[in-house]
Amino acid sequence: MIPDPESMSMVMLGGYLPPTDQYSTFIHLFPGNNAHAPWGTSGHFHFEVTVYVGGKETGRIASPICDEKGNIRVELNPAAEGPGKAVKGMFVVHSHHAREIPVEVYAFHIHKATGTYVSCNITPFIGDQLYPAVHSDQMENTLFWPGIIADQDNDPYSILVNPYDVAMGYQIHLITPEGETVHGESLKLRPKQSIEHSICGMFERYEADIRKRNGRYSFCVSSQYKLVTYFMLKNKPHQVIAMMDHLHNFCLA
Amino acid sequence: MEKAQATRPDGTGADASANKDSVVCYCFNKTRGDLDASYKRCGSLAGVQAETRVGTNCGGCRLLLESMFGEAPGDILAMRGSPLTNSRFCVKPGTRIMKGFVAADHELDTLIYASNGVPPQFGNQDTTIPVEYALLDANGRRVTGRRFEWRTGETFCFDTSKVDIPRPLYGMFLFQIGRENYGASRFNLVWTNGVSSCSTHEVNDSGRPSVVLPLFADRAFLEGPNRVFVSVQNPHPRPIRLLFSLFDEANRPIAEFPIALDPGSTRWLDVNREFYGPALARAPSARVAMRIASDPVDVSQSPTIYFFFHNRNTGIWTANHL
Repeated sequence: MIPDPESMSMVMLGGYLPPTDQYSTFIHLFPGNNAHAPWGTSGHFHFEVTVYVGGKETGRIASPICDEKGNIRVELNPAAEGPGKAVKGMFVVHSHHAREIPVEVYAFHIHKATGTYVSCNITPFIGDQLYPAVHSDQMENTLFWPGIIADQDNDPYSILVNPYDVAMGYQIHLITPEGETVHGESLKLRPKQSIEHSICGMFERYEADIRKRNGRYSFCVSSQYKLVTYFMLKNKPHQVIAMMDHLHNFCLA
Repeated sequence: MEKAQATRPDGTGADASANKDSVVCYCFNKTRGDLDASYKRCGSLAGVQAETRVGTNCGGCRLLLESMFGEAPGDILAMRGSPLTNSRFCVKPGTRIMKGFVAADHELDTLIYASNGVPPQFGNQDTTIPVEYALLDANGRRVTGRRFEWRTGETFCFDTSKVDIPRPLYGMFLFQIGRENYGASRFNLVWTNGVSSCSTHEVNDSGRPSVVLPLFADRAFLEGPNRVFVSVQNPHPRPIRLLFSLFDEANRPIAEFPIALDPGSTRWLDVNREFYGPALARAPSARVAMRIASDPVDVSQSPTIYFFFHNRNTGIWTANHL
């Protein structure tokens, strides 16, 4: 059944695609996940994913349509890589949902060698119909992560995704346990590109103390407009992503 | 790579021009220091804009300008109403109680981190606030906690391995703040077994009374390296009932398991053993997923849910919130 466009809304989300030779990445959408109230099967849900590698579009996937009782799973690696290629990049999701009911979307990254599952929210970067101003209301162009984990088994990274068509300026700031702020360089991220920053590498003079006082440092990313930003931990012994979660604004909504 | 421009939140450090290297306007590459100097010369935001052009291109910094100089840029009123740019700062006066899941058992410990930092573009601000935290056990009974004054820039840490608490403990951490200023608020949780650590943030309640753990499991998954766990919590001051429903890819029901949760209580559940296993025993060739819903489905009864994967081969734990 073709949904009535008048009854649909759309939200744009962005995500990070880790190296395709190491990870299988898929999106699994369960539209019922944002039921603010009991509702039936009148809504329609679908999404399009566009995958970018090195800033260039490498593939588009249009999902099937389902209602609140259904689910949609889409594999991303085939849209990212040509035969025999191993790449990493980013993706943008245009998520179409029943009016005023946006859906939480998760990506899964399965480490091929060990079978380790890592789930990660795909985060909106433009307001939606239910919360039209929420993503700009809270100064989300400055996003925060308290508690940088860094020890002998874990290395911390900041991942940034620029889902826009223009380059975006940004700056990463380290906040010491005492509240002092150390400013990283002002940088630019090209359109439709992602980047991993090693936090210890970016703030080399602080690395020993970041590790010694494991968890006591924080960081934030300020940018021209809201970027999709994640904190990522890599488990060193297995070279596996151990967690990846979105930064959040300083205060609660 | 860093400019090593360390500044103290109270402005009493070696460099009192706090955060002067923090970029405010990316279009014209103007820092907080540039704009403060311009304001001294010009005496008004309009003058700063005329001199530096800040806030006159993409508009991403206009809110910061409004905050820094206490006046709205010339065209900010025209921006009101746009979902992309209509904005106000995240000043949220009042008391808030954030909540998160704590595990302290033979394998996992939990650390909680929060920073009372200030967004760097804001410069020096006093963000001191009163805070009270409490750790509740699985039944919602208080185990420990305290009140304190959280000073500007301070980092808060709670570590279950450093406190005398009964084990195993699966409970709820409450962090109550009285926020009247621009400081940070939210806390992150870290679950660690000493080798593997994973982290996500507090969740007051999901706001979603009916959610699906976004994964289908089959016999091969159960025999594979991954164990799945969920923590479910009742953040409300009244009892709630949850219904765990297993269904297959065609949305056919396979099994249901009700669970009651008292206020403030927590359940830590082995999903493979308690849900996927019994469901797959009934439908061995199926692929099953699990819905967790309040019964009746009601947004005011939404639980707080975290889910975890534990890889038996590597010992790595990963986690997220639903």
